Amino acid sequence: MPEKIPKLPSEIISDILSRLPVKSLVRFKCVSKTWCSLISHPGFAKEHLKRAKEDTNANHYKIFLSADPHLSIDPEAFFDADENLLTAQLNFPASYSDRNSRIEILGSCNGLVCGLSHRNPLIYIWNPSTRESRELAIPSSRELAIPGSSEDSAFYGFGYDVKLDDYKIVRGYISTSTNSETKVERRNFLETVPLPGPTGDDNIWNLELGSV
Amino acid sequence: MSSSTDSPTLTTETTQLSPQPDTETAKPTKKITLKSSDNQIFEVEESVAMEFATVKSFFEDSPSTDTVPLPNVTAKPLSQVIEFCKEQIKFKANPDEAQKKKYNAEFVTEKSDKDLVDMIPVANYLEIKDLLDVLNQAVADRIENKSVEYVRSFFGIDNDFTAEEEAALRREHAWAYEGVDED
Repeated sequence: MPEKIPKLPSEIISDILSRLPVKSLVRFKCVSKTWCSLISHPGFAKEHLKRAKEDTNANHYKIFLSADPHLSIDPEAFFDADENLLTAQLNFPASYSDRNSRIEILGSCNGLVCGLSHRNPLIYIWNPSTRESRELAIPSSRELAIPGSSEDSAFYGFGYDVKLDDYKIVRGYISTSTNSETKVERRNFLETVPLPGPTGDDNIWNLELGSV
Repeated sequence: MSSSTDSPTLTTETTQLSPQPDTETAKPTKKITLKSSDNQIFEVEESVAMEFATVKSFFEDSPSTDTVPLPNVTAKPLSQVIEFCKEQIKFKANPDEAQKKKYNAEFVTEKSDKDLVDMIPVANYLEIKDLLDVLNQAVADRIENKSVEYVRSFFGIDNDFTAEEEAALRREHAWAYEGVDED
């Protein structure tokens, strides 16, 4: 029998867990309901991200090598024993894995990747470290009544809004008008696509990837 | 559980012929008395005691006290915490980051799980930030690659999931259960 260990206060448990890699955290959601809600809490995700950013030993920059199939530097092991760069093939969640559907990476921020599936069409936000994702329908551009714009001319950006303390997707349109022989392209940043709830709601949306 | 772990070992006759200058008595320093919850008395140098934010503010509030009671702290973890702080004082006087790192690593490596976890509430109560950081990191390192069952028994946590709920969580995140150390 191991010696009985005293119960630690929750702020200590939280501090200890914030030092663990994502894989351990995903596994330890199973320890108890208290641990599950602690690890799933957006505040904890922020604490974890903050610590990961402060860790000067950690490798914060991981790169997508290829988008077909999606390959990334392995988030868990950067180099193998022989100093070879390790890559990992990333499996998209089932609904995006349609081989015929082209997925365009729109951007990344704090380890989250934002992509656009052209066939459905659908925007997804994906956390390669937790392998969790959210999808959001793209509001139809017709509602916007922008002269000369269409969904085909839309372009997107993805980032973190410090004021809102949440992530944002921005959509703009290229409206083309023909004046005599000159084609004019105007880029309008007109709207943000609403994200479903606070992004951290019930997932660990952060992690050791600074940019993917 | 003795507070006199620093008593010198008996030296051989040859070394006794040329006695080392006793730095302790040559430079008298102010001592502070700490009393653990199990009534053990610890005499520590003032500089060491001032590492404990809780003790420091106790003295600021009542400077005439000669003994600081620590009702939440038992003797064993307290003696280990004092040992750690004594070393940190030396590093403060002679900064050597590499040596400090080495000492901190050895300090936690040789401790049992129980000793390590027993010190955490003490470091927390006495507000010794550096030690708390070292201890929490050491615990994180010990559980990082362990199974769910191991972690439950490490912290004495009861599993309050139903069998179905637990199975669903494991299915959902099956990849996170691969490559885990044996308990």
